[in-house]
Amino acid sequence: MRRESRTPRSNWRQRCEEAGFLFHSMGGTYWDESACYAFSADQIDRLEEVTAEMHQLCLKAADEVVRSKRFSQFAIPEPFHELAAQSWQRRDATLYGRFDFSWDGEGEPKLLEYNADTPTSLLEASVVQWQWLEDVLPDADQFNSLHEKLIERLKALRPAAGGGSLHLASVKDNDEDLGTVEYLRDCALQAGWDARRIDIEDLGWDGTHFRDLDEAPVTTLFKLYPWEWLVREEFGQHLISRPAELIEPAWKMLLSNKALLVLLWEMNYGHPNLLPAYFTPQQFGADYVRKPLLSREGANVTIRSRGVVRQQPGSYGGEGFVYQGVAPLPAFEGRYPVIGAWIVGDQPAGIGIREDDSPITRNSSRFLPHYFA
Amino acid sequence: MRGRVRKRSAAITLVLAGSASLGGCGSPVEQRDAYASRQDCLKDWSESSLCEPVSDGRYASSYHYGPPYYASSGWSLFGRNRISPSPSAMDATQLPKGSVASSPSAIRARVLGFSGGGSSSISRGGFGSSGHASSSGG
Repeated sequence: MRRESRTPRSNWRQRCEEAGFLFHSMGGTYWDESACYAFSADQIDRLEEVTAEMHQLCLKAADEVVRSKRFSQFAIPEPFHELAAQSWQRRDATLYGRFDFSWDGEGEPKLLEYNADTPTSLLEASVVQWQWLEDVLPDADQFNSLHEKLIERLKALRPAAGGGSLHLASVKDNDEDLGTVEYLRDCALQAGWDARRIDIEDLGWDGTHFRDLDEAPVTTLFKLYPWEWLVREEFGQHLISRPAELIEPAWKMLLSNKALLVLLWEMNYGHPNLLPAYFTPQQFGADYVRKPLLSREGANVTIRSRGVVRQQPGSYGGEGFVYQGVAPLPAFEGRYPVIGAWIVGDQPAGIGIREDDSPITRNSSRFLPHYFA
Repeated sequence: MRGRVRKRSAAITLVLAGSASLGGCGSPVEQRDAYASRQDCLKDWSESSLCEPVSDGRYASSYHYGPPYYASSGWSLFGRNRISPSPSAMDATQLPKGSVASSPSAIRARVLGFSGGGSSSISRGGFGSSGHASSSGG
């Protein structure tokens, strides 16, 4: 694994926008093709194997939470325990997730966390870096079959909907989320769905069903909006009667939570791809990472390492924290990459790399393309 | 490539690319109706706290405003995204985006189960308060 400087395409903005990637410069620089990461085929094979294994370990962890009723450790409100449990027992269908690894290509990738519910950077990983490869390194390969796997998976989800439509919801006035949801709507249309977008704020409730702005029933809902927010908001109570099938399903509450890291370590103590993780810091010396049970994009994460404390601001942490061993991100020319490894259904489907000048990956971290040969 | 199966997509087709830039992705029109009397307002809203006397001089002081609501969830009979007053009202005014979300009377209306002029029992705005305009992804 190495970082290679490259000359950006002269028309990179146009190429990005042709793909519907309109948030390429959010925060200044987001899409960054002034460099890329290069891997060997063996390294990519290792990432694929580890991703598949982490997925299986997470499914076992979900089963354990339900079996032992450990919902409170995950700060899931009591009225939703049964919803999550039944969703798991039915094995409600999942679309996707993204594991974040620390790795420099040597030794074992270490799982930092699992974005199981609302992962973003999908369009960039699926389409934009593929388009970059086509333009710049057409003979090279890339670990990226996201597009066809998403369409296949969305096709597989259709029969359960009985011919109904798929609504895709995200928050108003957020270009990144809109771009992600519009990309998934594109895939859904190609999978044969009647796919309709709606702002999550505009979802209506008629006492029995959710309704869109045309007052049509919302029976299958992809929501780029975390379960932990849904269950705490005014309409959250309506979810208990299952008026719609949600993607991701309720059992993803058990995985999109940093308490998962503790459970994974407890169930697979010493696993080479996991970091020690506990609900208290006593098991560590001076060095550990504190993460809120529920947080996004590095918010409220604190790293204590070698006498240095780095802390990201934010508004999370009210539900509690977990403490994880330190796996410093590798530094390539002073930049810190995180490897995001995608799972679609049950299949590893590719990677995307976010890079930051800080060892904590944030919402503003840049996305760099990759290839392997 | 040593005869390996490639791990990259062979081809990618998009059918919507760039459509997000077009805007107008179903943003609802927000409006408030003006009624000639309190009784007319109550025909639609049934709750006195949702009807307030006109005090901005736009109508006679005997007129009453109902709460802000999403037009596209209320008077589908008159077509979506057009400003049409309720049959009980005399006039309707389009409001700036966000008016419904920030209006105390609209919030009361939602809690009471109204969403617009009384013809529809659909309430809206029950999701989204945690997200504001920040990304919900990670």
